[in-house]
Amino acid sequence: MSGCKPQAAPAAVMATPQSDFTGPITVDPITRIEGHLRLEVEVDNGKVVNARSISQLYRGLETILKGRDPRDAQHFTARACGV
Amino acid sequence: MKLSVGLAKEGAEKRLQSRGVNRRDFMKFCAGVAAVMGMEASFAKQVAAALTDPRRPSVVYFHLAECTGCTMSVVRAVNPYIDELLFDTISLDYQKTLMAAAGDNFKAALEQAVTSPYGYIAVVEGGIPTKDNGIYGMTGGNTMLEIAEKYLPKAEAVIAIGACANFGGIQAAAPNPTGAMGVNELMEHLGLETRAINVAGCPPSPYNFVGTVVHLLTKGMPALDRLHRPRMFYSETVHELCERLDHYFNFEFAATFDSEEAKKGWCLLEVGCKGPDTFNNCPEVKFNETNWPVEAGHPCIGCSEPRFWDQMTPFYKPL
Ligand code: SF4
Ligand code: SF4
Repeated sequence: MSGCKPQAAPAAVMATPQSDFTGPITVDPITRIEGHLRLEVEVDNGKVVNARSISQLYRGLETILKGRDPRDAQHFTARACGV
Repeated sequence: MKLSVGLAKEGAEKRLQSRGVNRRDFMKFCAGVAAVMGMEASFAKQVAAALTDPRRPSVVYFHLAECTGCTMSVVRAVNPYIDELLFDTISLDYQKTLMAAAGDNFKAALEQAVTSPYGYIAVVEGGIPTKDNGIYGMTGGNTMLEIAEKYLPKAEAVIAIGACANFGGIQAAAPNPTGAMGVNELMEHLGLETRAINVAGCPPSPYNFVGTVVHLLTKGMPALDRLHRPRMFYSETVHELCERLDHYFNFEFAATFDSEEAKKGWCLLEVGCKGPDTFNNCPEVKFNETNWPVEAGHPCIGCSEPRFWDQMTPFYKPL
């Protein structure tokens, strides 16, 4: 891209805080989103060893759409997420 | 959009002012609410008082099986301050889409709100999946079924916002894979009092929601129709209020969307309009204070009526 100049790295890069935490971290619900999201993170001696995001709502919209007038689908899929 | 949510008990007007909403704007909004409620202009004063009373109850907003479209309808930013007015003035103390707190902090906010000494008004957006003990909808470690059972009976009042909370909504459409129910249907199923006020629509007009809250705060329970919808907003059909009604009476119907007749703004009955069977005030209130489906050229889909995803479909088939 023209006009882009390489930038110098910041003088001091903040060090990642060290931790020896071991155990699960769960955040449920995640707010400021549509839907019902849960995060599960497994931490072993300060390192993330596994992470899962779980969406906790099943409505079956695909099943509901089967056999309907195709022109109606736009109204159904609009309600997958209203945000 | 600047939003402040949470235990906003006192000084609501001052806070609004600090964010550039002056008393005149606020009164204009209150007059709008009064008008939609079918009240005299002088009622705006009582609307303002109710919305800023330090003793107003907490409003606790539950998101269940839904799409958040109802929340979006309420916070739409066309009028730049309506969202702030709403959320600051009604003391919305728990709302998942808007609050910064997540996880345990968010759950703590709920506990605080439901123990408010002035009680709480529960607002429900979304249906409740009931099949297989409600496993299809979970949040914060509980099923939505458990949440509804725990928090709704204790509320001062329950407002079901939108088709999902009213009558089960889109997830309850055939074959209803998750056994989704609306709030009153669930309460009946559990043998509890069916007292949710149905602010109907998919999504409803934000004025119908605020008007209902204001009515509860000033005059108590509004008069409801047999489907528990406030009569002040849902006593006339969309058809009766429609600006295309003269064309209907003159037998002037658009046969297709790309016809000359459609361009001339003729009645949309033949392309599937459900206005004659639908009780709502969209033609009067409009969305974003701008427009509503029929004025924009699309037939009414009947979204304030029970089970409209089954009863009003195929949407483009004439009634
Ligand atoms: S009523 Fe309609 S807009 Fe509201 S949450 Fe349900 S699907 Fe979305
Ligand atoms: S467009 Fe729909 S609501 Fe309007 S007059 Fe025709 S049938 Fe009635």
